[in-house]
Amino acid sequence: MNFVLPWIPFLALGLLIEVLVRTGIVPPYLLPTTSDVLISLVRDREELLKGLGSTTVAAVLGLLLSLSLGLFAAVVLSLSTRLRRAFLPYAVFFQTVPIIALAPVLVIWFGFGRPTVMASAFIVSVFPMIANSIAGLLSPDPRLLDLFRLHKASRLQTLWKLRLPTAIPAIFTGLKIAAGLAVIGAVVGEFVAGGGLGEVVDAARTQQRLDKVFAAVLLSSFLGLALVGLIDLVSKLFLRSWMRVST
Amino acid sequence: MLVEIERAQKSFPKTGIVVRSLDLRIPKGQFLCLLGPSGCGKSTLLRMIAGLEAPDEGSVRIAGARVSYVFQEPHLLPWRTTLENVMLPLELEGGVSGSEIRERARLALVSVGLGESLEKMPHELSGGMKMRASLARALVTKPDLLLLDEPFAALDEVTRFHLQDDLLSYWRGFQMTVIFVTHSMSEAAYLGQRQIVFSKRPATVIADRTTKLVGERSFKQRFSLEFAKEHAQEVLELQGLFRSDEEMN
Repeated sequence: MNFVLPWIPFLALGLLIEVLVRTGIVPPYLLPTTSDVLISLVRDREELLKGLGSTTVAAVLGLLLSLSLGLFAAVVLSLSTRLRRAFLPYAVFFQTVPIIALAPVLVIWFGFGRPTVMASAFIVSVFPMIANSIAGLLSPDPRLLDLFRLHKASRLQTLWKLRLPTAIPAIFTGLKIAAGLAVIGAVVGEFVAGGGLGEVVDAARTQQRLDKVFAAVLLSSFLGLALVGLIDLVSKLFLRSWMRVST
Repeated sequence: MLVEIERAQKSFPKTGIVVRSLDLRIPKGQFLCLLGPSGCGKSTLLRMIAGLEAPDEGSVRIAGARVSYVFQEPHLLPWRTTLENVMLPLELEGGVSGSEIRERARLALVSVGLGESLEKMPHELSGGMKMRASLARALVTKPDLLLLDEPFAALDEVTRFHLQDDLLSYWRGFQMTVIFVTHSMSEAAYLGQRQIVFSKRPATVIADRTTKLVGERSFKQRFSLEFAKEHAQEVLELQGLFRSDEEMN
């Protein structure tokens, strides 16, 4: 039942769009019918699946870059209040930068193709990784920090045995937020650098193929949902086995 | 003297002066209770003795003692087994092999009655068992000075009674000095060889007294009529000290 419930509004919306367009309330040049989108998903499947594969690879690589560099930056910034004050405002840059405006610059730096798409996915997704990881790394119970101080723990010991383990749930939360953003960043990067679902959307737009545009948008949304769902599942399984909590 | 405190003063921006010009000398091997109303500055004093807070004025000197601390809550790491939690202080301090760390932690847990719970996770332990694990974590380093900050306040009465008796037996067994913070007059009267009674914040010493309660403490003796009378007399004396302090202010 829990699996079925989210599909009910989705199917209802699809039905509503179908009725609105077929009855002429909404003109077909503004919105394709649901059935046209489904037909496009079947008819253009080869191109769409190729695009989906390319976007998936770029988004996942960008996400892995966000995870590794974001976590590293968070660990460094968590070591000192002064470092955080000096550098955290620049981390916010990644959250506020209009990626669509920056994408042409990325093409100049990295050329057309995957490196630019990955960089775009990274830029959009790295901030939640940094912010959540820092929050997690700074969240240990003060009494436990006292215990570590009392037993003369080094900074590395405190990081490895206390701060990082405490931060793991927050790191997973950051990763979940970053996963959705990485897909958005990859598709935007593909508008400019080519390849993937972004290129499919851009090409279909110029051909006035709204059904194909929506089919590609639908697939990129499913990709984001799948990545978020996968990370959610991994985090639950990991935390359960780590804390040895029986289900 | 194991601990020497001279004219120690501590204040915080939000609360003002918490400990005012305090002098205190604690000899080796003593079981000392610091008694006072909640928020009077007892815990701050304990943290200064542990070296977790520096006094603003005056000095706190400890004669080369190995110090362990037991908090009000057990504060076990939820991702470590009970055994791994007790191993932690030795891992942090280093200088001991992995197998010795494991064995010493195991023995510490056996000594607090948790020999059957070595591989249990903290969420699988009861409140009393968690506090026993916390005590084992403090004892595993074989401390010269054990500091306890209201460790039994959140436990039910029967568990508290058992843990009080156990603590007294560890104190004798490990031949250490114990400083025990509490706001319970009954607990201070039962446990302490010496009781230091503090005023409301800022903490100043109202009384520094030695207990008149004699004989071994045990769960059985606690409920003997003669011991209960003597204990009640001690509690009344402590109560009298608080009352006269309140009347004076």
